[in-house]
Amino acid sequence: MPDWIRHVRDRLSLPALDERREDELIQDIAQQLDDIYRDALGRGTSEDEAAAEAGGHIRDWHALARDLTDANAGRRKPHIDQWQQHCEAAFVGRQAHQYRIGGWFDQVRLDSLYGLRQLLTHRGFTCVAVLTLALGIGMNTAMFSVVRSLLTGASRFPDADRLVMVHATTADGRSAVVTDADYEELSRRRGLFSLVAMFDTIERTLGAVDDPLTVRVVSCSADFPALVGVRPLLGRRPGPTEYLPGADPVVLITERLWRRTFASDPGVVGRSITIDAVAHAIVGVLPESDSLDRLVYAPFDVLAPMGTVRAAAAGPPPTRRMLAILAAGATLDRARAELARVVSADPPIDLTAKSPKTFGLRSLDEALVPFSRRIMSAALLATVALLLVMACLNLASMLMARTSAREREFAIRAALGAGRGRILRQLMTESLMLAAAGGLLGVLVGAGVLRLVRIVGDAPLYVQEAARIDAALFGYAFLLCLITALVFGLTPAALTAKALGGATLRQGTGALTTPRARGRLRSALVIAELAIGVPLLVAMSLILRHLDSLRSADRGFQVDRLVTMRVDLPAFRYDSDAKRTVFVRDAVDRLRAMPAIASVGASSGFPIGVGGYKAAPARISGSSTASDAQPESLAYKIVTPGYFDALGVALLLGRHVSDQDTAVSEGVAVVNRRLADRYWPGGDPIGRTIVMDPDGKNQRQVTVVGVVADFGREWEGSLPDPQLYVPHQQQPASRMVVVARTVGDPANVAAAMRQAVRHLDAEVPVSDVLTATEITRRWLRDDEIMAWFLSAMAALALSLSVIGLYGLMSQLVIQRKREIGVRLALGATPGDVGRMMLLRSSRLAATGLVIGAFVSVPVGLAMSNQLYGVAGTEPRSFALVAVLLLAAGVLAGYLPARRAARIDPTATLRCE
Amino acid sequence: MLTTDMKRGSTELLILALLEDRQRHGYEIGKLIETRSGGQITFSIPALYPTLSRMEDRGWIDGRWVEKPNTRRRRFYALTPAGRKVLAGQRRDWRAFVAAVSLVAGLNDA
Repeated sequence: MPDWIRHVRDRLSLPALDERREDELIQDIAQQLDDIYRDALGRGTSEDEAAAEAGGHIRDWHALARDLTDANAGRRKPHIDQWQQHCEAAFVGRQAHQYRIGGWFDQVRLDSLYGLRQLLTHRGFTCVAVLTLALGIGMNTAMFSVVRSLLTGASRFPDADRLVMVHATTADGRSAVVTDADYEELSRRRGLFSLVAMFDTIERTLGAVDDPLTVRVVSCSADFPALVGVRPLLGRRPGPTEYLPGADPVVLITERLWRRTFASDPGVVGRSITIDAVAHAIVGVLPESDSLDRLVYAPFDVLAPMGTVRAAAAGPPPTRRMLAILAAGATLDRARAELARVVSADPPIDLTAKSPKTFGLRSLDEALVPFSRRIMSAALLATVALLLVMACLNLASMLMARTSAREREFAIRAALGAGRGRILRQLMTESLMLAAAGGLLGVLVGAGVLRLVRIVGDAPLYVQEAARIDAALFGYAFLLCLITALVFGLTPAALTAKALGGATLRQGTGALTTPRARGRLRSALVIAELAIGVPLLVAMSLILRHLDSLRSADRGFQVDRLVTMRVDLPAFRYDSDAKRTVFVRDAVDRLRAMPAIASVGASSGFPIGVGGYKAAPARISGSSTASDAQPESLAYKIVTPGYFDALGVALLLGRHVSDQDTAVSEGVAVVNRRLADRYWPGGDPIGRTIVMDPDGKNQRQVTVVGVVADFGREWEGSLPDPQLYVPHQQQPASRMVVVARTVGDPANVAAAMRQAVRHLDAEVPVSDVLTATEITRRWLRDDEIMAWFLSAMAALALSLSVIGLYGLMSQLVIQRKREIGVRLALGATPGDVGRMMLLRSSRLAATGLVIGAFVSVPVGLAMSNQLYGVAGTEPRSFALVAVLLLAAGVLAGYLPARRAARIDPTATLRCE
Repeated sequence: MLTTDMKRGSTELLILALLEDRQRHGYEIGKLIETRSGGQITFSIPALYPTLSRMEDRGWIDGRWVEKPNTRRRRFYALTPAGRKVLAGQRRDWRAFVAAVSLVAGLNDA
């Protein structure tokens, strides 16, 4: 008896069906052939004839295989389809009435389960997709956190929406001093404000520790801590009696000072610190807060009841500021109007003022979040949003490839009665699931990135505070997921829908859309992705060149072997010009005597970077360009003899300031070349006079005795400003920055320099002992952070582009396998084929590059006024990007090209 | 003679109808159609089997291996509740179709 199972198995091949079904069909058909065979035997035919009759019953095995494959749509590999159909069949058959009630939920459940199986089956695709999304969403949530911190105004304070800053102005519009009387007057206006607080910020010297330290002290009125919601980490707030005059002085210290000076000692409460030689008891430790730092303008170290920190013996009183909470029912506008009326109806609110004072209000949010922060936030968000768009395009392109691979499945489902909506819903469910997985992982990635930033660099406080995962962050991530799923899921879904509109299940290929149109769309997506990456790459290249030119910029002085050291003379000890003069002169002399130091001098500020400049109105004699009506505003620095020599700045005319320029001799000044050129163009500046502060009580006249070369720059990209250098002996400052040119390695001298000053007076805080390289690095910190950020973004963008291009090229090789096989069979060499694919990949990259370059020009132009030494449209930066992108094109095309070159033509052609 | 197209359109109805009373195996279905139609309708395996298979795939019929004593293992097909509904529907449609065709083509006069 013939083995019918074997007979059938040898002839019927059903590779598309799952094995169990294939087995079932083969056995069943074999059984039927056996029946025919037995029937024939029963009719009396011979065994051979019967076998021939049964064996000849099926003539076209190929057609049968095709028909069976079509008939068993639900039993194809992978097993998921079968499972889905079973679910639906069971579901429809079993509970027709429940279908309508629980239908929606069950459908969603089915879709999700089916989608999950799909995603799990195609693990490679799922991993790449989820990782791409996680990166995109992660960077966005991280940036969302940072921007949220950046834009946090008053919201961290209690009663945030009713907090206002109160400022005083004189009748002629200048800001006026806030006095105790003002504070008391406003505190009485209960109808307007429920609470009024006053504070000021001043630098003091923290003594009786290993290293005396200059600290920023915020002195405040009793309601301030409650008003800004200060909650100590340790200890307590000062009680009401501790604000009264004559009370024992107490302070709260901030976390920063606690860490730095007390090594985070948990027993610090109850110990005392010495501020300007007065002992203050520590009653608590304050947590660091970016909002509070911004409220008082800069990070601070100590919060103390007003009046308990001894007032400075010399110098102007600190600027006081007032904060208030609007009374219940009072709006900002109403309070403004009322405040103006109250004051004008009762003019002498401040009896000591010469002119009547008025008060203005500003919402705290407005005061705390300056415009620049908003701009910066928008730019940061836009940058990471670009990255997410790229990730979406990437996914859309990948999903399109997947969808075309599944077209036959969709066609069959459509033929079996699945509506267009049903299939679209399935596709969107899968997109949403991908997005959800990417989103969840993205939140983790985002948190990780922020953590990394905190660990790696000394991140600004707003970045440190950003590392907070909360409901708002999840909400944002959720929103991003929805948007991304829509963006990357809709394209392939829409394409499928269009195809299903005229659904015909063509035999054999089962394709719904022409591969050509699909290929074009995919190429377009990848080109768009490449194009979006270009501005990011250009921005990176520009900022790197900007940093490079800043680092190598000629600062006008020699940077090698230069050490700086900041010295703050405590006001309580150095309360007279004479004392300050003597100390600075002695310190410089002592340093000059050190053998390791070649030359030394000091000035009121660092030679580069912002700060240390003082500005004064000045009248300039004999100048053709200075205004007669208005005094010019001149920036000036206070310098000691030897300063210019130590820096290596050339003297162009006249002489330097010298030891002979004393408090009793004629006032002199040295100017830089730019000042001379501006006010006395073509003339001789020597001997000209400048009257500083002509209308004020500090009026004095200086004579120009020398001109030095321009050096130092006030801000990025600018020429050095006109500068005036005044001798220290004639106008002593309490903060001086020593600059020393060392003989050997500057790092070895730093400690000795510190020691020299300590010997002179151990209570004088010394800080910022830095080499010129370190100063430059500190000065460039913001630019470097920006460069890091942009580089990271650009690197991610480039990787996404490479992944996208690689995916496209790989699919192309698979699609054109037959064509390539034919080419190879007709005599093309593998090299030709590889080159063809590489060319294709590079051409895509080049197209993206050209489109991106157009977009990048405005980006470059927008950046250009922030850049130093590099134009926004600089060809070299664009060329670098072009090289990078084309290299990426070749890289992405290389593996697919190699695969194409290795195609075996005979195998390919046999398959068909 | 019945054309292939006419057969193809009615295969599902014939199979469903034959399975209405009891479960049958594939060869039996083909034989029954042949004998009951007086030899007018015959199906080869390639013509009948894919339809059977598709109907099973859609859940109208349920195929099960049955091994009875003294007989060989066979695959028996039974009507599912869904299949029963489809049969009722198809019967209705065919009745209407035959009546309509009769009216138009004047089949009763012939």
